[in-house]
Amino acid sequence: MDVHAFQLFAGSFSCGIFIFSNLPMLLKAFRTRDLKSYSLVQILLGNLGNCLYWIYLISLPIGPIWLINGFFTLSSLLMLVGYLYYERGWAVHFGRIDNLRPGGRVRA
Amino acid sequence: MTFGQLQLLAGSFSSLIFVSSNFPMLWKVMKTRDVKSYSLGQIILRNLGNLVYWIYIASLPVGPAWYLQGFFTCSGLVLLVCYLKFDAKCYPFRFANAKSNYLSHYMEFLKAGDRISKLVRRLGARNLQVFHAHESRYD
Repeated sequence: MDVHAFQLFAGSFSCGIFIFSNLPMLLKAFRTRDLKSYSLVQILLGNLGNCLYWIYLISLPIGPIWLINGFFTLSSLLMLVGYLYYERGWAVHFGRIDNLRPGGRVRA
Repeated sequence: MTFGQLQLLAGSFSSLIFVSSNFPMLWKVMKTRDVKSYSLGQIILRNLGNLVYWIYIASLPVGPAWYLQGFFTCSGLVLLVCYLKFDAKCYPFRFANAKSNYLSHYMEFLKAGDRISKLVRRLGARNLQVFHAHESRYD
Protein backbone atom coordinates (compact mmCIF):
# COMPACT_ATOMS: atom_id res chain seq x y z
CA MET A 1 0.00 0.00 0.00
CA ASP A 2 1.55 3.34 -1.04
CA VAL A 3 1.40 6.50 1.11
CA HIS A 4 -1.43 8.11 -0.84
CA ALA A 5 -3.62 5.03 -0.55
CA PHE A 6 -2.85 4.87 3.18
CA GLN A 7 -3.82 8.54 3.58
CA LEU A 8 -7.10 7.95 1.75
CA PHE A 9 -7.77 4.91 3.91
CA ALA A 10 -7.07 6.93 7.12
CA GLY A 11 -9.36 9.73 5.90
CA SER A 12 -12.16 7.30 5.10
CA PHE A 13 -11.75 5.52 8.44
CA SER A 14 -11.90 8.78 10.41
CA CYS A 15 -14.91 9.91 8.33
CA GLY A 16 -16.61 6.69 9.40
CA ILE A 17 -15.84 7.52 13.03
CA PHE A 18 -17.20 11.08 12.68
CA ILE A 19 -20.38 9.88 10.99
CA PHE A 20 -20.83 7.13 13.58
CA SER A 21 -20.40 9.62 16.46
CA ASN A 22 -22.87 12.10 14.90
CA LEU A 23 -25.62 9.61 14.10
CA PRO A 24 -26.87 9.21 17.73
CA MET A 25 -27.57 12.98 17.87
CA LEU A 26 -29.69 12.81 14.73
CA LEU A 27 -31.47 9.64 15.78
CA LYS A 28 -32.22 11.04 19.25
CA ALA A 29 -33.53 14.31 17.81
CA PHE A 30 -35.94 12.54 15.46
CA ARG A 31 -36.93 9.82 17.90
CA THR A 32 -37.74 12.11 20.83
CA ARG A 33 -38.86 15.08 18.68
CA ASP A 34 -37.26 17.22 21.36
CA LEU A 35 -34.98 19.85 19.85
CA LYS A 36 -35.31 22.42 22.63
CA SER A 37 -31.62 22.18 23.47
CA TYR A 38 -30.72 23.51 20.00
CA SER A 39 -30.91 27.12 18.89
CA LEU A 40 -32.20 28.15 15.47
CA VAL A 41 -29.37 30.66 15.04
CA GLN A 42 -26.76 27.95 15.69
CA ILE A 43 -28.39 25.58 13.20
CA LEU A 44 -28.67 28.34 10.57
CA LEU A 45 -25.03 29.31 11.13
CA GLY A 46 -24.00 25.67 10.75
CA ASN A 47 -25.86 25.46 7.43
CA LEU A 48 -24.33 28.72 6.20
CA GLY A 49 -20.86 27.48 7.20
CA ASN A 50 -21.37 24.21 5.34
CA CYS A 51 -22.55 25.98 2.18
CA LEU A 52 -19.58 28.37 2.22
CA TYR A 53 -17.18 25.52 2.97
CA TRP A 54 -18.32 23.80 -0.25
CA ILE A 55 -16.94 26.75 -2.26
CA TYR A 56 -13.52 26.07 -0.75
CA LEU A 57 -13.93 22.32 -0.89
CA ILE A 58 -14.35 22.12 -4.66
CA SER A 59 -10.76 23.36 -4.98
CA LEU A 60 -9.57 20.17 -3.22
CA PRO A 61 -9.35 16.75 -4.88
CA ILE A 62 -12.37 14.49 -4.37
CA GLY A 63 -11.85 12.38 -1.26
CA PRO A 64 -13.00 11.71 2.28
CA ILE A 65 -13.24 15.45 3.03
CA TRP A 66 -16.02 15.68 0.42
CA LEU A 67 -17.77 12.72 2.01
CA ILE A 68 -17.59 14.13 5.54
CA ASN A 69 -18.73 17.60 4.48
CA GLY A 70 -21.55 16.02 2.50
CA PHE A 71 -22.66 14.18 5.61
CA PHE A 72 -22.40 17.31 7.79
CA THR A 73 -24.35 19.35 5.22
CA LEU A 74 -27.08 16.73 5.10
CA SER A 75 -27.23 16.31 8.88
CA SER A 76 -27.42 20.08 9.55
CA LEU A 77 -30.15 20.40 6.88
CA LEU A 78 -32.07 17.60 8.60
CA MET A 79 -31.61 19.33 11.96
CA LEU A 80 -32.95 22.57 10.47
CA VAL A 81 -35.99 20.80 9.03
CA GLY A 82 -36.49 18.91 12.31
CA TYR A 83 -36.25 22.11 14.35
CA LEU A 84 -38.73 23.97 12.15
CA TYR A 85 -41.03 20.95 12.04
CA TYR A 86 -41.15 20.08 15.74
CA GLU A 87 -40.19 23.29 17.57
CA ARG A 88 -41.67 26.00 15.37
CA GLY A 89 -45.00 24.31 14.83
CA TRP A 90 -44.58 23.20 11.22
CA ALA A 91 -45.82 19.75 12.24
CA VAL A 92 -49.08 21.30 13.45
CA HIS A 93 -49.22 23.62 10.43
CA PHE A 94 -48.92 20.73 7.99
CA GLY A 95 -51.51 18.74 9.94
CA ARG A 96 -49.24 15.87 11.02
CA ILE A 97 -49.75 16.34 14.77
CA ASP A 98 -52.88 17.52 16.61
CA ASN A 99 -50.98 19.02 19.51
CA LEU A 100 -47.25 19.44 20.12
CA ARG A 101 -47.65 18.94 23.88
CA PRO A 102 -46.91 15.47 25.37
CA GLY A 103 -49.76 13.17 24.49
CA GLY A 104 -50.48 14.95 21.21
CA ARG A 105 -51.85 12.48 18.72
CA VAL A 106 -49.88 11.82 15.54
CA ARG A 107 -52.18 11.58 12.54
CA ALA A 108 -51.74 8.66 10.19
CA MET B 1 -10.06 38.78 -6.84
CA THR B 2 -9.44 35.43 -8.52
CA PHE B 3 -11.68 32.41 -7.99
CA GLY B 4 -8.91 30.67 -6.02
CA GLN B 5 -8.73 33.58 -3.59
CA LEU B 6 -12.52 33.60 -3.27
CA GLN B 7 -12.44 29.89 -2.44
CA LEU B 8 -9.81 30.46 0.25
CA LEU B 9 -11.84 33.37 1.67
CA ALA B 10 -15.02 31.25 1.76
CA GLY B 11 -13.11 28.41 3.42
CA SER B 12 -11.63 30.73 6.04
CA PHE B 13 -14.98 32.40 6.74
CA SER B 14 -16.81 29.09 7.10
CA SER B 15 -14.00 27.79 9.34
CA LEU B 16 -14.51 30.87 11.51
CA ILE B 17 -18.25 30.08 11.71
CA PHE B 18 -17.54 26.47 12.76
CA VAL B 19 -15.01 27.62 15.35
CA SER B 20 -17.37 30.25 16.80
CA SER B 21 -20.21 27.72 16.99
CA ASN B 22 -17.97 25.33 18.96
CA PHE B 23 -16.75 27.90 21.48
CA PRO B 24 -20.01 28.16 23.53
CA MET B 25 -19.89 24.38 24.14
CA LEU B 26 -16.32 24.51 25.45
CA TRP B 27 -17.02 27.66 27.48
CA LYS B 28 -20.13 26.11 29.06
CA VAL B 29 -18.24 22.94 30.04
CA MET B 30 -15.44 24.93 31.65
CA LYS B 31 -17.81 27.33 33.42
CA THR B 32 -20.41 24.89 34.74
CA ARG B 33 -18.05 21.86 35.09
CA ASP B 34 -21.05 19.79 34.08
CA VAL B 35 -20.03 16.97 31.72
CA LYS B 36 -23.01 14.70 32.37
CA SER B 37 -24.34 15.15 28.84
CA TYR B 38 -21.11 13.76 27.31
CA SER B 39 -19.91 10.18 27.17
CA LEU B 40 -16.26 9.21 27.58
CA GLY B 41 -16.52 6.71 24.73
CA GLN B 42 -17.78 9.38 22.34
CA ILE B 43 -15.04 11.84 23.34
CA ILE B 44 -12.27 9.23 22.96
CA LEU B 45 -13.72 8.18 19.60
CA ARG B 46 -13.78 11.81 18.48
CA ASN B 47 -10.13 12.31 19.48
CA LEU B 48 -9.12 9.10 17.73
CA GLY B 49 -10.99 10.26 14.61
CA ASN B 50 -9.22 13.62 14.73
CA LEU B 51 -5.77 12.03 15.03
CA VAL B 52 -6.36 9.55 12.21
CA TYR B 53 -7.89 12.30 10.05
CA TRP B 54 -4.60 14.24 10.28
CA ILE B 55 -2.93 11.51 8.19
CA TYR B 56 -5.34 12.34 5.38
CA ILE B 57 -5.34 16.12 5.95
CA ALA B 58 -1.53 16.13 5.63
CA SER B 59 -1.98 15.11 1.97
CA LEU B 60 -4.06 18.26 1.24
CA PRO B 61 -2.53 21.68 0.55
CA VAL B 62 -2.18 23.89 3.65
CA GLY B 63 -5.34 25.97 4.00
CA PRO B 64 -8.57 26.40 5.96
CA ALA B 65 -9.00 22.61 6.21
CA TRP B 66 -5.76 22.43 8.22
CA TYR B 67 -6.75 25.27 10.54
CA LEU B 68 -10.23 23.88 11.09
CA GLN B 69 -8.86 20.42 11.81
CA GLY B 70 -6.31 21.97 14.18
CA PHE B 71 -9.09 23.67 16.09
CA PHE B 72 -11.23 20.51 16.25
CA THR B 73 -8.25 18.52 17.50
CA CYS B 74 -7.57 21.10 20.24
CA SER B 75 -11.25 21.33 21.24
CA GLY B 76 -11.52 17.52 21.36
CA LEU B 77 -8.47 17.33 23.63
CA VAL B 78 -9.79 20.12 25.89
CA LEU B 79 -13.12 18.30 26.17
CA LEU B 80 -11.32 15.06 27.09
CA VAL B 81 -9.27 16.80 29.79
CA CYS B 82 -12.40 18.53 31.16
CA TYR B 83 -14.30 15.24 31.23
CA LEU B 84 -11.50 13.45 33.11
CA LYS B 85 -11.18 16.35 35.53
CA PHE B 86 -14.82 17.12 36.27
CA ASP B 87 -16.59 13.77 35.96
CA ALA B 88 -17.21 11.99 39.26
CA LYS B 89 -16.51 8.55 37.80
CA CYS B 90 -12.91 9.34 36.87
CA TYR B 91 -11.40 8.81 40.36
CA PRO B 92 -7.64 9.17 39.70
CA PHE B 93 -8.09 12.44 37.82
CA ARG B 94 -10.69 13.72 40.28
CA PHE B 95 -8.21 13.04 43.10
CA ALA B 96 -5.64 15.25 41.37
CA ASN B 97 -8.28 17.95 41.20
CA ALA B 98 -9.40 17.37 44.79
CA LYS B 99 -6.27 19.02 46.19
CA SER B 100 -7.31 22.34 44.73
CA ASN B 101 -10.82 21.77 46.12
CA TYR B 102 -9.40 21.10 49.60
CA LEU B 103 -7.37 24.28 49.31
CA SER B 104 -10.42 26.31 48.32
CA HIS B 105 -12.40 24.75 51.21
CA TYR B 106 -9.56 25.61 53.60
CA MET B 107 -9.54 29.21 52.35
CA GLU B 108 -13.31 29.39 52.87
CA PHE B 109 -12.85 27.98 56.39
CA LEU B 110 -10.24 30.65 57.18
CA LYS B 111 -12.52 33.39 55.87
CA ALA B 112 -15.42 32.05 57.96
CA GLY B 113 -13.16 31.95 61.05
CA ASP B 114 -12.11 35.52 60.43
CA ARG B 115 -15.75 36.59 60.13
CA ILE B 116 -16.68 34.76 63.37
CA SER B 117 -13.79 36.30 65.31
CA LYS B 118 -14.80 39.77 64.12
CA LEU B 119 -18.39 39.09 65.22
CA VAL B 120 -17.23 37.85 68.65
CA ARG B 121 -15.06 40.91 69.12
CA ARG B 122 -17.92 43.20 68.15
CA LEU B 123 -20.32 41.39 70.50
CA GLY B 124 -17.71 41.47 73.29
CA ALA B 125 -17.24 45.20 72.86
CA ARG B 126 -21.00 45.72 72.98
CA ASN B 127 -21.32 43.57 76.15
CA LEU B 128 -18.50 45.50 77.73
CA GLN B 129 -20.32 48.77 76.95
CA VAL B 130 -23.53 47.32 78.48
CA PHE B 131 -21.55 46.15 81.53
CA HIS B 132 -20.02 49.61 81.99
CA ALA B 133 -23.44 51.19 81.60
CA HIS B 134 -24.83 48.86 84.32
CA GLU B 135 -21.88 49.60 86.56
CA SER B 136 -22.23 53.34 86.19
CA ARG B 137 -25.97 53.02 86.96
CA TYR B 138 -25.29 51.24 90.31
CA ASP B 139 -22.36 53.41 91.26
